[in-house]
Amino acid sequence: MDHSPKGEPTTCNSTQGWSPGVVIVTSFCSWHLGFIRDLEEWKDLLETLRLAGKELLSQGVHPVVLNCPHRIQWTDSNETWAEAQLNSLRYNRLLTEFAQQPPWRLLNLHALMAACGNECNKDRVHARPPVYDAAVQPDDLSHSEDFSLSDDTLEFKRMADAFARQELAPNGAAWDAGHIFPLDTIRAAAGLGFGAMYVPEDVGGSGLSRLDAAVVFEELSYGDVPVTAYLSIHNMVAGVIDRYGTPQQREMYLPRMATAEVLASYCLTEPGSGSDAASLKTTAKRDGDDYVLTGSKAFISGGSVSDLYLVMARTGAPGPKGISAFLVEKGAPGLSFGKREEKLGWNAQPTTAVIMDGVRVPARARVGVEGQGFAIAMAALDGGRVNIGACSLGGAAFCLDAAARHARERRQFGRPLADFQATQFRLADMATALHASRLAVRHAARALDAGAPQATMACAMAKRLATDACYDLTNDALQLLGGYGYLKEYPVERYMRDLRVHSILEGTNEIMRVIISRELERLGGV
Amino acid sequence: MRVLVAVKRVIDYNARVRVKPDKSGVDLKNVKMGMNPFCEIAVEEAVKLKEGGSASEVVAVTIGPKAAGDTLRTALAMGADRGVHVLEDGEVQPLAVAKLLAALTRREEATLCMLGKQAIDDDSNQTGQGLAGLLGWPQATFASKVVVDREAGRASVTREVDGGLETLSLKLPAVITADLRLNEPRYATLPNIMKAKKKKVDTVTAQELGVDITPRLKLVKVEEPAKRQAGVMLSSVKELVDRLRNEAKVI
Ligand SMILES: Cc1cc2nc3c(=O)[nH]c(=O)nc-3n(C[C@H](O)[C@H](O)[C@H](O)COP(=O)(O)OP(=O)(O)OC[C@H]3O[C@@H](n4cnc5c(N)ncnc54)[C@H](O)[C@@H]3O)c2cc1C
Repeated sequence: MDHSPKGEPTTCNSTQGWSPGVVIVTSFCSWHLGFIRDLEEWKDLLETLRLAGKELLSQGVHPVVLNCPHRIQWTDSNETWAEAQLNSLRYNRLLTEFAQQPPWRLLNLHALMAACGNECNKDRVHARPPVYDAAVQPDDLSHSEDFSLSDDTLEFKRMADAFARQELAPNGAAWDAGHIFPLDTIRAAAGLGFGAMYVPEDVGGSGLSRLDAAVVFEELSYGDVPVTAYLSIHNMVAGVIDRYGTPQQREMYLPRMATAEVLASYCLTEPGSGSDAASLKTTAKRDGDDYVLTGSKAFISGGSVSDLYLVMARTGAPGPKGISAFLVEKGAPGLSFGKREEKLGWNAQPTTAVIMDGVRVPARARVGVEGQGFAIAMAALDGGRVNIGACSLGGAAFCLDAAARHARERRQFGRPLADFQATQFRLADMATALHASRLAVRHAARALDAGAPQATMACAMAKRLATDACYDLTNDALQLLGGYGYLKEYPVERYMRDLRVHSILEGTNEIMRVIISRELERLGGV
Repeated sequence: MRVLVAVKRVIDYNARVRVKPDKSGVDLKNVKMGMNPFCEIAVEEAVKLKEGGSASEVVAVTIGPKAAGDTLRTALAMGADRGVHVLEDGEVQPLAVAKLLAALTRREEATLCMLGKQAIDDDSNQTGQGLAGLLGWPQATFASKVVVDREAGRASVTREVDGGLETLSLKLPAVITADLRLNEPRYATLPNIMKAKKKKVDTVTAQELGVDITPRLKLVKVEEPAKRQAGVMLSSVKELVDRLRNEAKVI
């Protein structure tokens, strides 16, 4: 058992009203219970105390438990607010039971402290620097408030923030370690309207703007990046069906996608065509009223767990104009999935190959007209890039807060790290990078909402800037945490691993530069 | 049955509390604000009463500056039917809040007032009690379970008390204040947040309600708890006894 300090010894100069020979053991206020991760550890501790109590008694000292009845306080463990309350109640009960048996006696800490002119204090003794816990700690630095956001957007933001901190943040580490795809949480998120955010209400969507969605994705990814990123891809496919789908396709899929009863994946990349996506080889051959799809897609997020796959396949000549888009349902004969890829991050969602061996779909499963598939895929990615940029913002914001907190609390050379100007400058640069990225992402989202001719370029710029700058920020945060940053107990390394892929997918950042140069040319900007 | 539910905008329960240098209060500039958690629980319960058919309308009330309108909107997004905003920029102490709520309860002809047991900023824990006193209504504070029998015109309220659970039966109209374990407040959904915008919010002032809200209490000063030295880890019980005897001289 870890014998790091579990509570702060309270000494009391006055023993007023007490028989001499009494030992005041420690305060078990739930502020201190933060060090005890679960009830088992708590029981262990009580057992140690029971043995120590016997020894004390044998030395003529009467051991006394001082119980702080504070209940409505936070613990540092990974639990929701409500759980923390319940748990502290349980801890208190166990302690009360324990102290009712000899050799211990139970006294109310507050009464005693009051008698000594002292009061309950939440300053704690730490064996290790505390872990920044998004569920219970404020975000002081990461918020560069955008005063141009509407009241509505701010309200969406508040709600997403609460959901992220209470439902995502406490579980991110376990989902990462266990490679768990948290379907229940994704459905709960969809229940709040996160499943089809920029789809109109007539088919169950939330009817938000791209800007609203970008703000929401940022807040959610503060709690967990891969789950939010998965939701963003699901939303992207919902957006495609809404914009390019037939009325039947909208009716058939969108209401169930909004609730996440049907989950969707986007399938463009192939083993032989990544950046050069227009060279894809998967074919869709017309056969009467059907198409028959053959080929394989690589790196598909949500492969095997999603219910619906938006597949880009060749129906015509080589090049972008020969590509069409299809909706393929899981369970279709001939559809299978590769193994779950082992990855650096994004472990809370599977990535697999999607293999089509003569998968037959009816012609009405085609989205848009023949030959429109590549244009659809690229238009979808404009929005996808804003979303993935937003996911980088949230992850970086978390790391900035974690680093800032660490810098305040970790002391070296006799003072907090935050006292060194090098630390201050680093934090200042991190906050500036985050702010600039945030402005670029929100501006690109606004460009999409406005249907601006610069939208494609703005999305590529935002994605390039935000994903790179935010990844660098996570790395800087890790550096600021020193050795602790390298430990999995401190979530910064996980956010760094999760953010790394954002510079690669939905078009690598080199391809973003290709797009930006092309658009600059097209718009006559250079 | 109309339920009046009071909601207060307070410093966010996660925010770091900083005392102003002149000790005149807590610095609320650039601090995240939100609905008092106990008020959220009260709203949730009121909305549940409506969903369960016991209540016909839920009216959310907030007292405070313009910014408190956000908190009212959160209550509307959670399911309250309409809102009343008592616009006051200055300090409103618990007794004044109780008087304002009493005036609104009469005006709205509410049968049940739901409040949080206390607000996490001042921790006064007086408003519900004061309101019941002013209205001359029965009160049940620290509710952990509420069952309304509309036919009988009664509410049965379970309270967490030190020795266990206590159940009270109240004749309506009544005042109930919510404790932590009464329910788990829902998140407002995105579509409901948008619908909330269309719900009616009346704005009134204390003056219009004929209530004198002049502060009766004077805040002398607000201070942070004294910083204490970190504790030490001892290697054995022997050492502990030795230190207590020879160093601390308490045994
Ligand atoms: C975890 C994960 C999830 C993914 N999810 C999906 C998904 O859901 N759906 C989907 O369709 N795809 C998905 N992808 C695939 C992703 O979009 C591709 O990996 C990406 O587009 C790059 O393609 P590639 O891997 O084939 O690299 P390549 O195209 O082979 O590129 C290799 C390197 O060369 C550079 N490069 C290539 N061409 C140029 C050029 N013209 N100029 C300069 N540099 C160039 C690239 O930038 C890169 O650095 C996912 C990938 C990962 C890792």
